[in-house]
Amino acid sequence: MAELDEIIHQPLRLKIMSALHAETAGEPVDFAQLKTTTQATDGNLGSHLTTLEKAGYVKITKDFVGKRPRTRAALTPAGRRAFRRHVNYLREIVEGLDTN
Amino acid sequence: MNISRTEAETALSDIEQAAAAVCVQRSYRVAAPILILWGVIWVFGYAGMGILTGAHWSLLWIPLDLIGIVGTLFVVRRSRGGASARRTRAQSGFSPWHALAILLMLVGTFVMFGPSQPAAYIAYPGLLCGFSYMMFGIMRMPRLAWIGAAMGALTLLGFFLAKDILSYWMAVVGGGGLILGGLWLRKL
Repeated sequence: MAELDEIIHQPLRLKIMSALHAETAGEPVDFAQLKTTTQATDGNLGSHLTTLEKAGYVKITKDFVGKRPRTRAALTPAGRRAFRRHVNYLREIVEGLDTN
Repeated sequence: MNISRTEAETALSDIEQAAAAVCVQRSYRVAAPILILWGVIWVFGYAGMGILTGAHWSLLWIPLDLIGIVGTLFVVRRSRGGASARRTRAQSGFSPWHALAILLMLVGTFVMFGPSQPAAYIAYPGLLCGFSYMMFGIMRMPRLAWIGAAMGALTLLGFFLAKDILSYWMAVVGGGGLILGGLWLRKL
């Protein structure tokens, strides 16, 4: 049976991971776009992205578009696998497969 | 740590909502350049209608419509790159068949009712496009609903209050509105 991933399960991090996972081509997502999707504040989003980056689930890239700084985030292969495992775990709980 | 079934259901629902929000944003990104393209076409087309006589209107619009259709197909095709785009289309509920249905309705009602006044001929596409955008917007893309509502209302306003300059009205308000709408969607 799959296991709960406590890093992903935090509500905002779950939203971040879901949004990044929805970009199936693995395209990086703009910080501003993530903010709209998750409806989080700058500080909150930044701090949870850092947690996910430290866990190796997310890769953050910073560059410039013209003179404007841009921050983007994308799921790493490990993050994608962890997210799928976590979703499987949730489904197993909902479908009553938990034998504990 | 274990979680309850209710917590798991809530988490799964959050995941679905976040994925749906991404899907809507992606749909906006696809729709934005299409609206801008058609906005530019409307500016040229309707401004041309104001300058040219009615006999030349078809000659004006056929190439412009072809440019619009080819451009739209190009944008849609470019967005078809990966599985994410296929998912976008599936989740947004929009397919090329919807566009074809709108086109058939436009041509069908145009042929059936055959607007005899030039003003009705000019205003009809704006009204139908506004209505179509509203319907798609209500279903999946709220911002598109606002663009459609504004477009329909401004078309009616021009039809009743600015009949003498309706083609220029449609060029500025309709075409300009589509361009602004596209830029608004791009901001997401």
